[in-house]
Amino acid sequence: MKLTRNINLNGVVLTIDEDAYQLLKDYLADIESRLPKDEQQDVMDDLESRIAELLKAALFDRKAESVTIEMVRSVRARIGEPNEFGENKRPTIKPERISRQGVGRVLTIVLKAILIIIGIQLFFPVLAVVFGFMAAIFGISVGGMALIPAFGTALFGGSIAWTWGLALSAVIAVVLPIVMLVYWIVKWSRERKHPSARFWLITIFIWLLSLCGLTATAVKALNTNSAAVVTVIEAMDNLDDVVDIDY
Amino acid sequence: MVENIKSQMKKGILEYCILSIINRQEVYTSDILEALRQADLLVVEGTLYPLLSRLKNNGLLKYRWQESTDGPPRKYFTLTDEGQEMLAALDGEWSVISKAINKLVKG
Repeated sequence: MKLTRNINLNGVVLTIDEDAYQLLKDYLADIESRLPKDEQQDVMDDLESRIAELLKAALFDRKAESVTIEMVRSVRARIGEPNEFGENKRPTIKPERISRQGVGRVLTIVLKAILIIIGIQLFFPVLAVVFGFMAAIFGISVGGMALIPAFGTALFGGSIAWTWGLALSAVIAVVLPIVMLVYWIVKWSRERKHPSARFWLITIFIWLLSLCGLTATAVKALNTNSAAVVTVIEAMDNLDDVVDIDY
Repeated sequence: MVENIKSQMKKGILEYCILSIINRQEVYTSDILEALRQADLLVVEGTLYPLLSRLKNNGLLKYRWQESTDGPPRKYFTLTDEGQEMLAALDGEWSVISKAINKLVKG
């Protein structure tokens, strides 16, 4: 059993199978998109008339009542492929740069799903939480930057690598969400488009790395000199009093 | 490669051939298609419709509608005065080209 439709091809009514209808519809739409505007109506009317004529002849020859997909394919071969009518002017979807198969494909789907959830449904709540959090620790970071040399000595026994690792992590953790927001606002206001999934993926990944960096430096500091951590926190409390930052 | 060149050659002279066919008598699109097919000049049918539209828009063709018992009314094409002048010019050009090509090919 097959689903059929009734179509009107430039005044000729035909019964057509659903799959044949889809093929014919796509074919005609593809041709129409390639024609210059001032020729579209004329050419499409003539073309529809000719296709109707050929399909009616095919129905008569095969003593059939509805147009089949084979009949449409045969007509298409006779009329010609859409590229015979000119270049395709319809916007095309950019091909994926990376061929994704197997595990990579599954991972991509999962990541995209997460990004869509974060990027669309939970974007504003997440952003609000992130900025609330960042605003709260902003004072710590700014105040902390002033104490970097002291941190290096106090927390890591003078290790420059760990000191600047801490500084870099802190800066990225604070600045990146602001950059993300600014970029998103600029892109939306200029192009009415959201940043791409790749943008969210990369920035969130870097931001998570910076949080890992903060965690790692904290663990290192505790292992190196736990008493110093307490000292630093007290120092930051004092600094907060001095610069009057409310957090 | 060969097919592509053959196809391009046929397409290049298609407008001239269409004007020549229509000049013989008032014709319906299927008559033009049939004449081109018999002369083995037709690549695919679809190439005819944009050409007819372009020739008509350039004032070289005109058509009238005629009722048909088999379906919707049909367009019957004739050449305009301008189309006949164009055909005469193309006849002359074709004569020159074919002589030149024959001379070149046959040495």
